[in-house]
Amino acid sequence: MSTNDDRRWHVSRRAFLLIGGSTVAAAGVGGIGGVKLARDDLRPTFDPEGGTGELTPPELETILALVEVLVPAEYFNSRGRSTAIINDATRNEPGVLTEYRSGAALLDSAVPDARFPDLSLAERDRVLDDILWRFDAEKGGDFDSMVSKAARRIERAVHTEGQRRFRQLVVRDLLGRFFRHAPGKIVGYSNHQGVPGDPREYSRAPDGI
Amino acid sequence: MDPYGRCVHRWRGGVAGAMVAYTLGRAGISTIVLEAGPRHRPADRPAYMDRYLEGKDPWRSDMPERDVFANGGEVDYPLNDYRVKAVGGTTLHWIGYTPRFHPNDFNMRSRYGIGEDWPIGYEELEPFYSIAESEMGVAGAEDNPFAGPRSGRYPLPAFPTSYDEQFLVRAGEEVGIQFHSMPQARNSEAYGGRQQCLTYGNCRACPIRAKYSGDVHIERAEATGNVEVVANANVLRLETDGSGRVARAVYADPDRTEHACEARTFVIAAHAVESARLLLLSASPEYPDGLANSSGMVGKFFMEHMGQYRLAEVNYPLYPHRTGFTTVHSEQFRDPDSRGDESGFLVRGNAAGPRYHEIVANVALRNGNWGEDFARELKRQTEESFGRTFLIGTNAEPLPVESNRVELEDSVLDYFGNPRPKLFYSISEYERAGYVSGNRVIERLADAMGGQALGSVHNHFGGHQAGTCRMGNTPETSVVDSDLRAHDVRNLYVVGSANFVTLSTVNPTLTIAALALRLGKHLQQGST
Repeated sequence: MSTNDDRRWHVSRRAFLLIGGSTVAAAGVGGIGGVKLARDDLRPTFDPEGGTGELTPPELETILALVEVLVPAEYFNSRGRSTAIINDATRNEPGVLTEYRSGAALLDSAVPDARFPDLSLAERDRVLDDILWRFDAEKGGDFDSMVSKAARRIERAVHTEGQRRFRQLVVRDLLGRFFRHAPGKIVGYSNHQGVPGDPREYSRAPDGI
Repeated sequence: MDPYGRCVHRWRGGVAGAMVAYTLGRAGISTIVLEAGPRHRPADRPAYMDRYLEGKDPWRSDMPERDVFANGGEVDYPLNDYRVKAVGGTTLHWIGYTPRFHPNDFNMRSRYGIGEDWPIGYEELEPFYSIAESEMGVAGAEDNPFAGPRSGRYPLPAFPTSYDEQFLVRAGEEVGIQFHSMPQARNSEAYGGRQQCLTYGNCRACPIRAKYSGDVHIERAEATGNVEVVANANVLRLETDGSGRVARAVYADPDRTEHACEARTFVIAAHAVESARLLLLSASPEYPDGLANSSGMVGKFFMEHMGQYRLAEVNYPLYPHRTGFTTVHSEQFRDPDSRGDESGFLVRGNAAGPRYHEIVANVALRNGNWGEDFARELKRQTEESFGRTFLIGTNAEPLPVESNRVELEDSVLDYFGNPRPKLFYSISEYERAGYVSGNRVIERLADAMGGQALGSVHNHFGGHQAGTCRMGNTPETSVVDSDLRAHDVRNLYVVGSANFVTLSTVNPTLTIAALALRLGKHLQQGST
């Protein structure tokens, strides 16, 4: 995923983020509230009364193209299975259809003279990076954690509602769906929560561990 | 062959109403069940499971404005976290544990000088425990030296001990605490027309109904051809005929259209809070303090289990979240010699820590990344945090305390214009003393597991509301008699955990089912 171009984008973002992060951290110590937003604005949620249904074929193409950026091949389901996961969500969970549809429009509108699925994987990654800030300060140290919190606060303060909804209700939602079984795979489970398995396996350590 | 005409049940608790309806229907007695909530389709269960695995509650009330309540006691009770108003009731999301009460649980006053004696003993209820285990499909083993006598074998073999709980069992052996299998209404083999448990790791919304729920017996009741279930029928009050008998139940659809249902016999099986509330809502000139409430005992002696839990961190993997249930527990301390002074308690434990969706969501929230970077961070956090903590807990028993109660509060009305229930609850010193002893057991086990009990004690309720319409021999101190008939109203019965005189330390559902089956037999014998 990392090309030189990618790195340029990352450096740009990180520089901005660190400056902003220091500022917000200081403000926090001083007890200054900074930009205050209602909790609902900071953590948007799906509309429980929202409609259900299917994305149009072009919208679905865009969301699948996004999934390919979000989910490495190791965790990526087949295209057919991925389509089924997305359709299942939009058909059955109120509000998901609207958010995915808005997300697809946001991605397509970010690409002049083309559509998001037409881009290479690296180009799609850059587009996503342009819409959302990339930060990965979760290495466990206090400083990194502080930077992470600061980054999230700044992002919430300066991003538009559309960007916040895209982060929370499209990107994070898709990560949750496609990495759903990843923790179990990582520790060696052969069957996972929500999936039927050998009814005696739970009484043993996972095979090969 | 219809001695009662149509019996009406105002039913919510699930298994109680279902067992009575099934028993009556099988005996050819025409019965109507009025259920406040909707009917959930079995075909929707896989989708419900998915919702649960994403951290959402698929059983949440479909009418929150109907289910308003208030708290007025020392402890706030989160009633709507635990009850489910639907065909199948709270058993739709229960965990499925079915231990029996201990024989001494029925004789607390005469044996220990505290609480109150039931009007029936373990020996009276024992045959119905056995029937209930067969009807529900209980998996268990006769390996519990602390339990009362049994007349029958469990219909299903016990589930094998889970990998993580094997560490708990070994730790118990080191410190002299004996664990044994957990009886549970979950199919360890195919049984009762339902599949074997395939360890989906999610019992709150079992997608294949391997876990028993009350709607199973509602379906069996309907299959007799004698039972009709009316869903979304909210009973507002019972009206009497002026001669000491209930004449009709008045109920409303979700659009507030009212209907009346007449019958010869009425059974209320609406769990502890709503059973008492309905009696209080049915006040009339004939019964100014509420129906069946000449004693003033309706709503009194509300009980619930408060559990305590502590985490122990270990340095070896426990591989959790492969089942949604516990396979062992210990009843060693449920009936100790000190029980007159402090509560007995159960001991349970299982590997804990974040579940899959919680780990993924946490990384997604705190790490603004995606692709390979996200996957790398997820792997790091999973390896670091997944399955290295064990949750050990004890469940104490509450005492029946008159000031713990359910009342009506008319300052806020529900969707149908009725006063909401107001709960008053406090934890007794007797119970607190049991927590102190239980905490010492937790620390011994944590130490023997090679871990350390971490941080403060977490408490939460078990969702086991009881009392409020207790049974007894004297009309002055109880609401129903030993047959569960209201002392004041000859054609009115109340059944369920509302009847409990004491709550023991264990899960109440099997005892609810046994009481319901016993009531069904009584009604069949036609002694109204």
